[in-house]
Amino acid sequence: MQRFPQAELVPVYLDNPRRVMPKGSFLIVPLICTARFGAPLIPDPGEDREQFLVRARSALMALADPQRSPEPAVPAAG
Amino acid sequence: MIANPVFVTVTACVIAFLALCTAIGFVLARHVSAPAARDTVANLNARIRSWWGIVFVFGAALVFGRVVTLVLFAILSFLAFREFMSLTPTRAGDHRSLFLSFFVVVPVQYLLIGIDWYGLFSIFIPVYIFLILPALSAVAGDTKDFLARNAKLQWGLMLTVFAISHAPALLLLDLSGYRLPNALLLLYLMIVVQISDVFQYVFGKLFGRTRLSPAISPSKTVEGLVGGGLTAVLIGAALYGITPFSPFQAAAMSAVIVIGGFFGGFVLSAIKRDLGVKDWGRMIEGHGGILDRMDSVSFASPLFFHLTRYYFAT
Repeated sequence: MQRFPQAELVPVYLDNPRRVMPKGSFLIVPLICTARFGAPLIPDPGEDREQFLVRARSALMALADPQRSPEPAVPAAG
Repeated sequence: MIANPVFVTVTACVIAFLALCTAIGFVLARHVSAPAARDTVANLNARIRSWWGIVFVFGAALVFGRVVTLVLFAILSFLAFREFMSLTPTRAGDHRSLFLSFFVVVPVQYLLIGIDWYGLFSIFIPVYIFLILPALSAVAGDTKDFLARNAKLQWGLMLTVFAISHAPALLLLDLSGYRLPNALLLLYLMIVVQISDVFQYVFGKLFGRTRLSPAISPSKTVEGLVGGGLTAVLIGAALYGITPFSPFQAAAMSAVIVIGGFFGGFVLSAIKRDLGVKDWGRMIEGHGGILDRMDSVSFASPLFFHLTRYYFAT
């Protein structure tokens, strides 16, 4: 981040892949997966690494919220 | 089928009706200016465009015969079940049950129709799968939400596979005194179900004042239900020529299809509200998912199938 300050970090939450093929399973279940994109994260001046990571984590958790809007994000093939 | 004059006439009527709808949609799009109305008309036209696709796919399946029709319905069940389970929370312990449901239960249910095994067709999911799935889940050892998870899986299969498979199961009935191919009876069921849905929408948009149940479905109105239901019963009665029924029997059967279809949409809407979604998916432009179009079919088909079988099969 410090070396490439112009890069935008976009939080993306993938819903359902873990249900399609859970860890340790060889069977694939064809559920529909959804990718939800959040707003790009830009480090605040004076924000240290830990603070930024906490903010990034909460941005991702917000996207994982099971509260489904009627028009969710871009559907992905599943 | 393609050479059957009755099939050709009915198909021509459906195409003429769709052409009329397309023309009306085109005129509306040019004359409506209010933003909310424009959205409604845009959605209407998207729905009509999708209808052309649905009619083409379904008509082609009927033309190609029984195997293709069964494969089409198996695919529809598969996709509807996929939409249902994608929105219904399950856990890793359900993985084998889900795999079995998608890749064994769906094909076997339709295969049983294909080989005319009515006895197993009617108990395969409600008896055998009903016992096997919870056994698999129990073996997986995860007891969290055990009852709810198994109930959801069984509900999903009953609605999207068992119930819907009763529509093409009409093909295996041996109907006394019915000289037309059974595929026409399937066509009859689909026409009455969908005409009922379409005219409930049309009457609801034109005259809808009294909401039936705002908590479940904001778009369902008493005016829509009565107008759409009566239109479907009238059309169903007029189509008695493609059924083994008398005109009065056809009207009664259509009434059963309309009531069943209405509750199908109603119950599936209640599930959608419970899950916090508006549509089941985005597969059909303007309509939502496959299950948004098949919800009424899932309730109407078993009723129509069993009444026809009980009263008219040899």
